[in-house]
Amino acid sequence: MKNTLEKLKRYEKAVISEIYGDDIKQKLIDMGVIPGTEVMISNIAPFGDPIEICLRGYELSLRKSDASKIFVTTKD
Amino acid sequence: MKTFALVGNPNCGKTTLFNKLTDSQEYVGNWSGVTVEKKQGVLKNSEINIVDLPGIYSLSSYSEDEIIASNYLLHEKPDLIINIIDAANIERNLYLTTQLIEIGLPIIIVLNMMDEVEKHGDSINYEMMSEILNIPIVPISAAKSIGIENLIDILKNSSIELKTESVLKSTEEFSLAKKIIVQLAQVNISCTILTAMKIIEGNRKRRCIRRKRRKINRIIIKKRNRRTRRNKKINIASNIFVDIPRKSWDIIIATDRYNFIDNLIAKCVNKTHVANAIAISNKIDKILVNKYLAIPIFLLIMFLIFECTFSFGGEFLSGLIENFLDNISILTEQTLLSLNVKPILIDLVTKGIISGIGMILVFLPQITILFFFLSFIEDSGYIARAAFIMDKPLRQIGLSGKSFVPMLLGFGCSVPAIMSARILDNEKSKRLTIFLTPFISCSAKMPVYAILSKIFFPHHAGIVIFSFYLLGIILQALAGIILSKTILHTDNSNFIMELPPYRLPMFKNLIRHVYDRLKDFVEKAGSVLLLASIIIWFMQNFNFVFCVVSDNSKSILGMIGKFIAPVFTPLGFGDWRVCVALLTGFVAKETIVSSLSILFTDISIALPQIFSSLSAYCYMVFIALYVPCIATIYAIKRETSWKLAIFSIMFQFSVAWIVSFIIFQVGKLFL
Repeated sequence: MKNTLEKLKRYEKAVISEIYGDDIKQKLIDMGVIPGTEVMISNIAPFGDPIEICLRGYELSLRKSDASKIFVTTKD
Repeated sequence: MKTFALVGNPNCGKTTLFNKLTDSQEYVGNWSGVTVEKKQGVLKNSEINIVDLPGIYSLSSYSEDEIIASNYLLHEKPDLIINIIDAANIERNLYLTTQLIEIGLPIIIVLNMMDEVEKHGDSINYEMMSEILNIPIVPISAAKSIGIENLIDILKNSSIELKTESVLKSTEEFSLAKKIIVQLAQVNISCTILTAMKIIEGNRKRRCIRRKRRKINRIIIKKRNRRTRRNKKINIASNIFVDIPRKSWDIIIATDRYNFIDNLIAKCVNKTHVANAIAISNKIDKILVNKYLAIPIFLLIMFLIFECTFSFGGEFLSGLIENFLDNISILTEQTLLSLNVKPILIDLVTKGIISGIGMILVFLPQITILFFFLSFIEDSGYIARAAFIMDKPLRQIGLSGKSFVPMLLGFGCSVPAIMSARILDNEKSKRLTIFLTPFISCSAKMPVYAILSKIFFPHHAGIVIFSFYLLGIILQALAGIILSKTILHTDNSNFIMELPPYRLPMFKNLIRHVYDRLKDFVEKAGSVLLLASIIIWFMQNFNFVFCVVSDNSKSILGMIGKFIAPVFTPLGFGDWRVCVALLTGFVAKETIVSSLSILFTDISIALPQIFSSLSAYCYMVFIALYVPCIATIYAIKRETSWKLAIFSIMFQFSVAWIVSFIIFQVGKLFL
């Protein structure tokens, strides 16, 4: 199932399929956020934004608006 | 003399290793971007220069510290790259390695934090990894000093050569890169594989292709020696692009790099537990970043820091130092009297130097405690979480969660705080953050608050002092909202930031931080404050024709003070001496206290005659908000521009004046 990253449930595993947004793309690539990478949301900030994602054995925070530019596929 | 460069991801222990290799004591913390400038040192017992570069995730130069590091590697060409890798986070750390290889310089990999990996029951077959990569690998633990001697020996004795070109050898982009290099070589431009990869990546963006081309041309032109050959080269550079098929090369190249890394890890890393450090961090985060608990815990932590700093440090420890200094002052006076020293010189020593500097030294315990806690927050990894929590509220005032790091450090000293604003990769948010940092009362203002509050609000000193910090934060927010929508307009920044695993700070490191700060503080007392104290003493005892005056309102200082006093009369403090103290505060905020204690023989008796409680409060409000000290202004200038630094002076002064004016005039109606 295709979805954007910020719509995932907490601890739900997914695989990145596409990245949009020219402004942040390079930065995301540098941090290892590329198609084929397995991710999950591991935490959400108390005010509801930003979110913390777990990938490649480390944790990265990003805002929901940026997460919405990352498409993921879930297993079911 | 050879130069070796230390390169690695942020927060992988580079600076700790640098300190171990060179015996120096650089600042270490547990957040990305502690090292914001390159630092140099000499390898122990050798003639090798070690350069510690800011931590970077890749060589694509996204933020300023990354540009510093990339430029250094590509243009200065060190003799050896020491690529330090956090073994506990090996996958992402190796990504930079795959790029570093392509610079074409000799490279050695240092696997740091091996102890953490072993503690989690994992193992890394670094010999096999070294064989596959064809790069020497040395396992160490910089924090625990394991393997350092071995590493130093290897660095000193062996000559390391680069034996691999790239990890992407069998890919399409590699053959394209080779073609580009060959084409450029025909016109005598040398080009690394990495630069060729950048050219391939840069070709894609159709929308801004022309701008990109110009940028790439610039890269190539830089490598060219003669100006006359410019046109020819641009043509050749453009020709190359035609040969490159249109694909999402940036993603393809990154994916190929990661595929290589995944294979390497599958072969060489044995993970028994799935990312244990993260599991522990997640458990801690469940409490510290909990939806309901996060804010109360955050406020509680802040409250505890201030409570410990002011109550325990202030009341108890400072009292001890104060007694001690009083005794020294009396003893010195008696000794000098018995030696028949001229009274005016005795006056200089006791009333000028000892009371000037002594007043400040009393605050050593408070500053020690404050910095101890700030360092603890920094080293433990909580500071990154605090930024994570505060991102949304800070966005409302035009900042980003990353701005929270400078804000928090600002409670210690504005100068390192302003430097730390470099972690912001958006130039506009960085400028606004820097501009707003001085609103946070730094530790140098603490003595002023403490002494005056004790005199005027003996029973409510705690709340009164807290109100200045709060006022600073509120005005910072207001200024942020207004400025971000007008002159210092900020556009959309991002909050893509690594959250490092929590680590228990090493006591040795904490002591190191505190010691460094105290050393700065004492050195400042011994230099700037000493000089300022002597000058102030001189200026209040002599007039413009250098004769001793009996009435110090006729002294040089008296004249200056009376000249500026009318500006402050509407704020409730028109006495020339307190105005002069404000002037001296420009040098360093601690000087205000020194000046007051030189200008008044006994401030606890003299000040209540000049100030009412209200005007004393306004005086402190003014001090909390008015112009930053010289060091801060210089830091603002260095990080941004003179324009912003001067604007900062004018802005802070106006805000301070207006706010004090309102409080005094409104307060007068009620009191």
